[in-house]
Amino acid sequence: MTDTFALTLAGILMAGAPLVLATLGETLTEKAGIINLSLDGSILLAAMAAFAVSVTFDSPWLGVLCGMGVGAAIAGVLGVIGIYLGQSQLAVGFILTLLARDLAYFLGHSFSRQPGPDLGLWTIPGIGTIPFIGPIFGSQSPVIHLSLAAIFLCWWWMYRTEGGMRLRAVGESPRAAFGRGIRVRLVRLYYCLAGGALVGMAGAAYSLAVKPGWGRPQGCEGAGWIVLAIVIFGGWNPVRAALGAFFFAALQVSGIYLQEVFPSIPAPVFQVAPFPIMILTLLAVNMGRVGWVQDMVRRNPVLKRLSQSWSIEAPAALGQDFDPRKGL
Amino acid sequence: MIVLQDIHKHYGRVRANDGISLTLEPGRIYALVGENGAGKSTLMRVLAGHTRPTSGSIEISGQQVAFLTPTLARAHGVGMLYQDPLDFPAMPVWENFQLGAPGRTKREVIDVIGELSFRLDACFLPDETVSSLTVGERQLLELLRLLDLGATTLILDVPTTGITPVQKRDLFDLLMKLAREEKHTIVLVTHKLTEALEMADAILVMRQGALVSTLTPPYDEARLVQLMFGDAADGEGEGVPGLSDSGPVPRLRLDDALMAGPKYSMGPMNFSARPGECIGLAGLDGSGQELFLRGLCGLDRMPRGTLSLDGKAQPGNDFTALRSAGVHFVPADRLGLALFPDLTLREHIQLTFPGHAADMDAFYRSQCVERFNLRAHPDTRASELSGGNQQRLLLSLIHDDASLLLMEHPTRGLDAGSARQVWAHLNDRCRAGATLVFFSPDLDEVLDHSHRVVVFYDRAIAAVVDRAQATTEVVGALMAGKDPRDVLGETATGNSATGGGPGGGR
Repeated sequence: MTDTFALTLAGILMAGAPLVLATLGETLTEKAGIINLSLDGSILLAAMAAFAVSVTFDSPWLGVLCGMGVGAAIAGVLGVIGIYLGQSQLAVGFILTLLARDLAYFLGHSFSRQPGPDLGLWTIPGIGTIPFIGPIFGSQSPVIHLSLAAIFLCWWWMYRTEGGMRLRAVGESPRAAFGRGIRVRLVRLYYCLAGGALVGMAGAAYSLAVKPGWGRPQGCEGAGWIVLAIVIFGGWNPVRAALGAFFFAALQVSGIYLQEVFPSIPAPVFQVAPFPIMILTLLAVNMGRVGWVQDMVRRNPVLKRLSQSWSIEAPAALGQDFDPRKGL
Repeated sequence: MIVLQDIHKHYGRVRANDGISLTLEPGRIYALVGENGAGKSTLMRVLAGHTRPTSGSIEISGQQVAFLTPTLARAHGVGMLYQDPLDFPAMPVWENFQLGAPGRTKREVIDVIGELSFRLDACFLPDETVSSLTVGERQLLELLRLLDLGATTLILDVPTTGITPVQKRDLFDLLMKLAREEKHTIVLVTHKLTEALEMADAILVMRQGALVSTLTPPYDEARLVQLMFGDAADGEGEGVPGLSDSGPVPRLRLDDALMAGPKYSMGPMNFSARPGECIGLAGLDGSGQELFLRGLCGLDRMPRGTLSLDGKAQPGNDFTALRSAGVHFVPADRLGLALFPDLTLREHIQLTFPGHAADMDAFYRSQCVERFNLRAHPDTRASELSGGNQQRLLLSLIHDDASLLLMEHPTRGLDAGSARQVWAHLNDRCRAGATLVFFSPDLDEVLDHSHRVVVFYDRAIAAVVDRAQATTEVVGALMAGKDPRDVLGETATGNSATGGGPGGGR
């Protein structure tokens, strides 16, 4: 029984790893005030590029690097057009997602349904024998370790370093940041690129580990859109966003198990169920905005304390253009 | 020493600064005065490196440059304090303090804040978010930050709106100390002549983008007013209209009303106001006056208690129901909340008065041009109007049968002439029987135009003060949280506890 549970957990970690990576990437980007809507296409194109490169050079890690490069390049296009040329980030992002998707299917055609290398498993010596932990971490895909490390690194960078402070500052008030000598547009471009690289890594994680191989469909279609929702769900906090990503993965994985338990319920129900459940959860998390809930919270000191640590505010300048030449 | 030479700054065809030359010497306090749009703020932004001049040059500590960047200005010790503090409300105090400064650990930053706070008699909790501070505290934090960065030239853009008289006194003492003892240069941009007359070693008067005069003590106030406004400035503003005895039914009555906004709730409150009465609300930012106004018009909720208009209870303060009952709310954020930036003046009038499609032009002329002297073309978009014209348009959109006017900062961003026109109109409304409840961060404005002043402190009504008693000292002390019994004497106790007697005037 514990082993089944441990295996389920391992499955959730695996399914959640690319979601976590992409969520962290988008959180970084949005925290700097830029909305990158090209996620879904980016993930797909990065997945294709990563697989193609690892087949060609027989090196999956080179594939991961290439996926990151592709993600960063798409984000760079958005960054230059959105940040420096002052165009709508939303419109450009949408177009890029469609472009990247079609490019992926077109360029990846010759790699379709081909065998290729994947990232394999990392075996950490001495852990495999520990009960419960062993089946989860003993011998696992490196993307899980990568995603867990990325959660910590993102949190540490955002809340414990000078650079992270500047990141939050440009997303909060670009005017004030400019007034303090921070190069707002450059900082925004950096985090656009960094976020894109993480999104690209998520694509590579799909085609080299979670759903190895390339085809049409690859299997990761739609992941980018749900990631955009999870970022909001996570309140632009890397740890909470990662929890949101794992929660969604858990819903998907448990759907597979429940399908076996309840064979009478049609399979599509379990495939679709995670999406409405996500919306309901988002609603529950954000109940604090409803009037009567606010009254209840105010009357109850325990709830009040809880609500303070749970309040969600978007970066104040999210999606706003800033041009230093116009001055303050 | 800083020398500005022939500074021009043009925005399109608008010449915000039109050839300004100016020398600022260390150890002196300068007041920069002028009406709205005279170019004061633009000039100061040029000096702080926050905007680039179209042409001209700046000589700063012996070095000649064409323009300054924020980094360069800081390197030369220039720091600017904005009217709305340019900070990061969602971030904690210590991060706000550190951003833009050379690298330090959190512990070091906290030590520096503590040290400076001690020197300047302030108190900050490093981990508190800035959004929970008052505007005055945020300004002080910015000031500490600039001093920590080694600022020797401090520019303060209208620093005294939204702070109490006591805080203002402290701020001015501090500025005086910095100028006299540490030889800092202080530039005070202000709308209030009394501040300029009191503080400045030299008053710089700007008008229509040009520096028209530099006055030195002894000052001639009449001449200063003449220089600032030209000939339009004659005539003092009127006070409040007379209040007739208008029967026992109050216009507005609150019984045990609890109001709840997104951030906090307040109450239960009892209050009433008569027809024709002007009620001013005073209080520091976030003391409750904003919620009070928004609760009265139905923008924030009233979970408990009753609100009655002319003796008729209005269940559940619904915005639309209240509006048709004659409650009209005019927010301070005109373009954001009250006007449609992309619609023209004529379209605004059409939307508000749908019955006048046939005689639109005549109606427009009588409503806007004749009554409010709104001289802009009817096809102008609202976003292109000046602040004064936006407010004129907003006033012209109020139906004549509006019986309860709720206004947030009626003269926000208006120059003296426009402000006087706005108040003349509001007084006319009150004479015709409308009740006005308004809030202004400018305490003088509240005192000048109220029959009674409702003072808010700590998200509650602290006291209701009659016109006869309402002086700057009294209201200022109440705003700062002094006990009403000490400030007003025993007689006021009952009054403050119930939040205003029924009927208002006795």
